Amino acid sequence: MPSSPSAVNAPNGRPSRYVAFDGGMLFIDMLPDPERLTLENGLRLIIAKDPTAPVAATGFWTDAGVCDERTDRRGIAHFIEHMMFRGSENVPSQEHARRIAQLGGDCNAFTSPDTTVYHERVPSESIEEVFRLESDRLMRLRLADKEMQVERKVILEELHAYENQPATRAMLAIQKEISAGHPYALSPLGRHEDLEAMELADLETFYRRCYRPDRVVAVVCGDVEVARVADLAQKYFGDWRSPNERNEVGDPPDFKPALGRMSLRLSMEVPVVAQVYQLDPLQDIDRPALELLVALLSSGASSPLREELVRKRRLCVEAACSNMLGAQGGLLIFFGVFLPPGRHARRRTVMAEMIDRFVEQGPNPEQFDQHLKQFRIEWAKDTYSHEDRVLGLGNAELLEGGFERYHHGLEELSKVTPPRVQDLARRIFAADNRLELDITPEQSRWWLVPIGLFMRFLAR
Amino acid sequence: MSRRLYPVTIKDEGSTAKLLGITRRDVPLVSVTIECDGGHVLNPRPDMFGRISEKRDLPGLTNLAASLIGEGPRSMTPLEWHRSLDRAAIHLSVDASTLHWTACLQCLPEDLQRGLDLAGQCLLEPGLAATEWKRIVKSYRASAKEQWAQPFQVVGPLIAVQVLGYGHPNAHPAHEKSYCRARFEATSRMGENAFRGAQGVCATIGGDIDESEGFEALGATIRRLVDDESGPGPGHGAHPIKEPEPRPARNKIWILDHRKIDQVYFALGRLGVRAGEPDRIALRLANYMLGGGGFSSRLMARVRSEMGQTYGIQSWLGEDEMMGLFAIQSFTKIDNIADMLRLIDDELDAIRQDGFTTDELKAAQDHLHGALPLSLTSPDDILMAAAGGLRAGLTIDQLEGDWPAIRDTGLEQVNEAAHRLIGESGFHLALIGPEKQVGPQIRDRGDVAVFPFRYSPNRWRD
Repeated sequence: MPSSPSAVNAPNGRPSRYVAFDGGMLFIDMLPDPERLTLENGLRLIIAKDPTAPVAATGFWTDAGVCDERTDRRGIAHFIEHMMFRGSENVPSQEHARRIAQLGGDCNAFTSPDTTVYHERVPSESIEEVFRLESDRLMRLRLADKEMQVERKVILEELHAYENQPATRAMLAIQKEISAGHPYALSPLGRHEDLEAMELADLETFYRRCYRPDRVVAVVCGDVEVARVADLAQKYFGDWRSPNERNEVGDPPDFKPALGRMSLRLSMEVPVVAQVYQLDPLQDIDRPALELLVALLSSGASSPLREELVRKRRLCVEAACSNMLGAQGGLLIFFGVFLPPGRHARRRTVMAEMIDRFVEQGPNPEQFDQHLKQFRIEWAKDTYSHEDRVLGLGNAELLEGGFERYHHGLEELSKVTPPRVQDLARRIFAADNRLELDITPEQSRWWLVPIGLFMRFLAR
Repeated sequence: MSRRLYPVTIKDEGSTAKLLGITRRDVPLVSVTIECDGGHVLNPRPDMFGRISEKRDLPGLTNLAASLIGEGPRSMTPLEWHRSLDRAAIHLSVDASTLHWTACLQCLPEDLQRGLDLAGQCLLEPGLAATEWKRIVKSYRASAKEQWAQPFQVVGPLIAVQVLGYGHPNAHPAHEKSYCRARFEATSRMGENAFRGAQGVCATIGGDIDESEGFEALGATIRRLVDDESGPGPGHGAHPIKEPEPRPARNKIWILDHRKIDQVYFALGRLGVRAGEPDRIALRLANYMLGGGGFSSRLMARVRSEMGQTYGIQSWLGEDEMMGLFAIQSFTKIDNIADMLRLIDDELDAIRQDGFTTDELKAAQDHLHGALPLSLTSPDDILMAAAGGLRAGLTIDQLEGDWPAIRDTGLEQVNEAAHRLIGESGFHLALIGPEKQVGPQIRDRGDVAVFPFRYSPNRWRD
């Protein structure tokens, strides 16, 4: 059982805290706390000073994703993301990317169901240029018809490319079937017919409605001075005012994924068996306990999931667990991949037995320190990467209720107790919170089943 | 320019091994890599005349051997091995690359000695458990099945085989059937000898550890590997490996006929360069300006930003110890393929005739000069780049010299390098799409060979 964290210096002199276990102690490295500043217009700024390399990573989160789209204009958030590289009042088309490249840096953006994020990595002395470029497009995007027509073609090519890869097509189909009726069912890229019908006025309306200072979080991590970054934020974003338009779309519906049983024939090459569980929205979920729960069941080659399905019983060639966490709710997915012939039911039974056993017996406390060490390694890797830290801080600030949930994540993990994990497991793994999903390849060779059974008979 | 990009300490360990180290105390993590001669180049392959005996063509064997080694030493069962690694939070993986076997270890500083002990046991006395064989083969088969069904992932191997010839170490892709054909005995023999009596060892240690302590601990493990004489030696006897002559396809155009997609995925390719070439900086600058520089490159500006004909187009320049490829890769609508190829031809012709401009060169120099230090911020990044340089025959001083050389390279040198990359003789063209619609659009470019999309790569021959 872990003790409460105490403040000490780690063996190499770093300020740390440690948690004592039966089997040893875990040091939690203390990075300086990031600063949060809020401008008068509501824009939040998170600054994490890290002078280890002369680099600065930045991320600008806009609280605008698929959930903010009109139902007949799916893909508009992603369309705006593309147009953000197509010029603003003082920055010509494509100049943003070119300018960042000339500094030696790189930039990109992505759209998710809940947010659209613009991010850069530059030498730290060039941080002002990032603020200049980002403020211009976030506040003064220029939407021109000619640029829009070209970008529409580009996006349609992107969408076709996704759909032409069988694995991606299958993932999109799974997403659609499980999350039917909710924006989470859709790819951020949108639908062909909506993209074809999109007009300049639609983009303008969406941009005006969603791109406003009280819906933006800016995160800077790197070799920067807090006061200087704060001055830059004030200089470039200080006079940005939110429009008075009301939100015409309204709040997205509660996320209610399909539960029960589902069989799908999809464009995959191998069959998959999955148990899917509904999760609470990010703000409400006990995330440290969830992370430990997932680790205890599925992390490492000797995890119960892999041992049962892959190593001992040889029922699957790979088994894993992944979670999709969103502002409206999420999914916890256990899955196993196997080569035909073979039946889904047998594998699902083993998976369900393993989960039931965990719920009944609770986690083994001795395994806690093992997984906390693993988390410490993951945390250390994040610390090396300014970009990963920006991503963690920004997501936590916008979607989880505060960057502290990321920054103090390791400390929070060390406070989790076995009963807390077991309690969460009971709630998540309840029978009425589960979807049993069987995926069969479209071109399944049914005749391999009797051959396989015959071969097994011969082997006996 | 006083800043050093590669603050690496190098130590010779005996006559054949080199140790590279970096201390960085602010992050509690230690990473170790042990690399020695071997890897995919040892896979049985077609003979020098290009004859292929299916039984003797086994491109996946080294992947399987690496996975078998990863199942732990003789002294433990695979289950006990993985439990002991997981309990100690030690990450240990064994992989094969084109010319090397590589073991990677990552752990907290306090677990380093235990990690090195475990790694030493596993590499010196691999258990090569026959009980895991079928499971490992099935796992590779499943992932190969998925991989070879995705057009995006097939274009790269297709153009490599077309330009270098099937069986060249950089064009010998493993597929499901090659895993089916592999036999346990041959694979375990390969695994048994991978690291024992290792030659050409380059090992790195970086992170939260004192360099001298790190070298001492790592050196002891390396000495055990190098001095082991119980095995027949690495490769064994396969090094130094003579690089085979590339055997480009006779037909300039290959199509993999895929009738269920509504785009064409394609790559233009020709022989590239080897790592460590004297004009490497000019080549990188030329590649950046042509298609390697994202939105700053000519091809992206013309084909995506101006015309909207694709989501992405890029050129890549493989810098490997053996001959690599220079390729341009993209995709577009089926009925647009002829137009798009014409656009690319026009850009290439313009570069052949007029070269790049000073503005383009300045932008490329600014980017590459700024980007190099940004890519070297963690010990792992620095050690990997330094070890790569050493393998290519470059010293750390030469690698440091590459940074100012980016600014010092003139337009004339860059245009010469561009000529070298794009040549006069044209490119091979590999396409994936419905042949019925694609074929008529490109037949005027040369002879065409067509294969079904589901053909395995050893059947891509014209």
